[in-house]
Amino acid sequence: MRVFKFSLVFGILIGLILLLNTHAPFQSSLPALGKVLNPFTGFWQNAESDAIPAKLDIKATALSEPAEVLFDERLVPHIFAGSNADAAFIQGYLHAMHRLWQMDISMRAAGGRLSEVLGARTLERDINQRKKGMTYAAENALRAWLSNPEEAALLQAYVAGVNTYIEQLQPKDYPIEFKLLGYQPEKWTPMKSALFLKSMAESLCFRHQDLQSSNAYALLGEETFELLYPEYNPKQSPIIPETVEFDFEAREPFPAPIDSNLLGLALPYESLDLPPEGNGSNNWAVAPQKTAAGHAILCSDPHLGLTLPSIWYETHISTPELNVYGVSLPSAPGILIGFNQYIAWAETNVGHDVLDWYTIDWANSEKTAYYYEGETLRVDIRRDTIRVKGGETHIEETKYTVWGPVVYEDSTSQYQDLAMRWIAHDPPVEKSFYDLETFWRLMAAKNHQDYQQALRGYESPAQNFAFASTTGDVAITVNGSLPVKRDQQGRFIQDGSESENAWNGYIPRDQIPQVLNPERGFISSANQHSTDEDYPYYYNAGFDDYRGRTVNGYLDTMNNITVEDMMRMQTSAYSLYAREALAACWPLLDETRLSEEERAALQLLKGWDHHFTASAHAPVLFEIWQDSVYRMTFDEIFSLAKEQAMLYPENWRLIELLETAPENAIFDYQETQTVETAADIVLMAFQKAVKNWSEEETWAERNQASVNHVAGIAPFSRSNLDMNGNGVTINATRRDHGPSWRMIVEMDPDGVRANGLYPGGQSGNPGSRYYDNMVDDWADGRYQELFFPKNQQAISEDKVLFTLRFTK
Amino acid sequence: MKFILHIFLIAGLSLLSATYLPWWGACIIAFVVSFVLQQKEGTSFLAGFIGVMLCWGISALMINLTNEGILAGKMGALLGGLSAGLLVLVTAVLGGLLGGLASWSGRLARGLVKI
Repeated sequence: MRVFKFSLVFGILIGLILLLNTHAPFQSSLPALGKVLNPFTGFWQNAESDAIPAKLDIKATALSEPAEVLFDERLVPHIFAGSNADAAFIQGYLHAMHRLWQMDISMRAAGGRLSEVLGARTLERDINQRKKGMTYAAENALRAWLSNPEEAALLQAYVAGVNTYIEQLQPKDYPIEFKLLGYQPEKWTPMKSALFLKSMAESLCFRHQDLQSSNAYALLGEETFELLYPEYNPKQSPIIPETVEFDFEAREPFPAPIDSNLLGLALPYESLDLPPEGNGSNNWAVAPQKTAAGHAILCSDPHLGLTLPSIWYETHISTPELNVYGVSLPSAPGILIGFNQYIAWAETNVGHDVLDWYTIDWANSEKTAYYYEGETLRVDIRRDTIRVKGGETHIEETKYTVWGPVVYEDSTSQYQDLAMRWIAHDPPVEKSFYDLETFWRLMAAKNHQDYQQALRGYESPAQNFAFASTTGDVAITVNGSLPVKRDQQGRFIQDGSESENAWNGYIPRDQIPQVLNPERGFISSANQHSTDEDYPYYYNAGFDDYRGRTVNGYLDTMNNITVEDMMRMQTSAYSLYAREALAACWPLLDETRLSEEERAALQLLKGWDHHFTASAHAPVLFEIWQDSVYRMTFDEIFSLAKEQAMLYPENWRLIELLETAPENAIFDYQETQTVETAADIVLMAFQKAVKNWSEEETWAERNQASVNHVAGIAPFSRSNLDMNGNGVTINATRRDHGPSWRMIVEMDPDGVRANGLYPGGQSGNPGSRYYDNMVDDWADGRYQELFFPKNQQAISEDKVLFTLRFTK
Repeated sequence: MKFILHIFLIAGLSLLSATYLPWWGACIIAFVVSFVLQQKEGTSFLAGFIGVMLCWGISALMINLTNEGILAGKMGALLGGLSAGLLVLVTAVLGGLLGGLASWSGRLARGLVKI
């Protein structure tokens, strides 16, 4: 009896401990509750009393000399190190200290290693990442970095810094997400940094519409295609001012092969997931003659997916070679956007199409050989092993052709598949330094010449690098490898059996679009066309140009510019698109056919100032109305898109058609028996909008601007922010996309001053006050002063939250 | 008096050993203390329950106070809409339950051996 009683009680105890020690018990989504809830190793250990780490003195034998890091009251580290490599080591340590889980999960998402920790639910995503060749791309980048001793030293120091932090971790110190998801941090490697940077390339230059364009051309016919998809908006305001002349002999593209036109061929493939359109950005710099204080001002706001923890981490680095402030990417050494005592720089994405698709004609039914230039070539097979938590290991075989990996494989067709040619796969062209060092050179640059020299190492993803200096120079360079293509090449899927369908190399460096100190007194970019149509190279990209036109329109007319003016402009919610769309609709809208209720709604829109203000109601009605106009006009395309991937016309073209071709057959709405014109569509859409519209809804409620946790854990996210702006305003906030960093730098030779912030906080720990402490200021359009001391002596003690000491 | 001592021994030793033992370390402490002290079964359960509950509860409470409830609020929301304060209580009771069972087991184990 005693034995029985003991066994029962003791058995219950052991059972309970085992249950509470199990992650996802009984297939639930619960974490191991005992591990997570106990106060000594569970989540309570992540609930910080302050931001000061337990370990302030760090032994680091890898350093060349001792170093100190002073954290200011915004938790921004000020690194004072004896060499650049030492600074890279410390950056690695700090990124790990504040963002370790973010680094781990981003690397897994990029390289297709999520299933290892999340199980079979992410297997398909992982397979796609492997098929897209992310690891192949990363290996090529890494080989280049390691071939240059300076870059190799920076990268290896960075990795050592990350691992120095990881090695001293106890399970109780693991970031909370590791505890909730039930796995442990693992050692960092150079390859992981490479994978992360390739995931940046994925968000920035993976967009492609070849399949969509081919289908649209085949199904709509040439005439409708030309009508709906012109490539150049005549109202375009390009990055390089139209006054710049291009007098050079351009490199010739390959001639079009005869008899190998695939136009007219619709393809049944499903589109890959594309990065969202919101991945654009703004940057501009005004020259001293346009400013009140007589110093150049540089402004930057890169638009990316907004997440907590944020993609950026603010850092100040001081070494004997440089003194620089800006934002870094956890996973990589260096500052990506920033300023020093002499210059400031910032990037926006270049739209140029650098991803093309080619048909592969198989020469055998096993799909291991294909035709190319009349010969039969064998594919290289790459085997990727994907481990799956709680499941069987998956082996994915990807076939590599002369073009790149065969990403679309149709098991029902023996004859043809599609291969991807993507610039991010390419090993960099051999040179004295590569893209990692580009940023370390920019960090140390003193003038325009240094900036130009630094950019030479950089290939992809191509960026518009804006520049301003304390000597008053402003410049912009459309920088990176831009493929030389003939007209229309790469817009559609091409025949992969012809070598002449390849890019003929890249635009020579001295011919890439760039400008220094243009007469108009400013440079700018917002992802629009790089140049006007006089530039002798073919440019293919679809990106709304309203932000670009808005920025240039403002800067053209502004004078005596102050930093405050720039803040107002950077957070402007004015929509040029709304103004132009409404101007096109008013003459078409027959107000006599409106009901009283509809007329009241119309009055609201007529009185609207075209600003997407958080509390306003008019922009909600506008969006619903314009969305209906778009859907009813292009209803043919929407119905075709149910069957295959289709290209959608750009917004500016709809406005142009409303103005210039209101009787065109495209405006006929297929669902009715009657034949509609633009006037009918505008009216019908308006009536529909008023019916579907709720008068109480504000713009902020509809836009639902939010900054979501990387793994989508709702209580770790900030949602429904009271934000001005929409996707095409300068303050480009669309749901969970928008200005991921705002920076305004005044290039005063007596001391560069800057303001900035990002929607997040320095700490990646949801249990820290510094997790999301900048979100509210960011949402309200306020700025925080960036503390940029000349040297360590210039930091008074009351500014210092705590100090980390690194000793050998 | 012995009861109070019992509770404090379990609570105190659990707290002191927490950094060296796995998360269920308080169970070992409660088991051993009750094994040694030889109280009644019911008293042993209660002492283990209260002892570990105090150890876990006060620790969680202190952390929650200095953290101003930032993380417990979020974790509570994640675990079905609990407030930070309620999560402190849940933590305490969970610890108590484990401690009680372990303490009782320790007492019962004592009954099986002749010392």
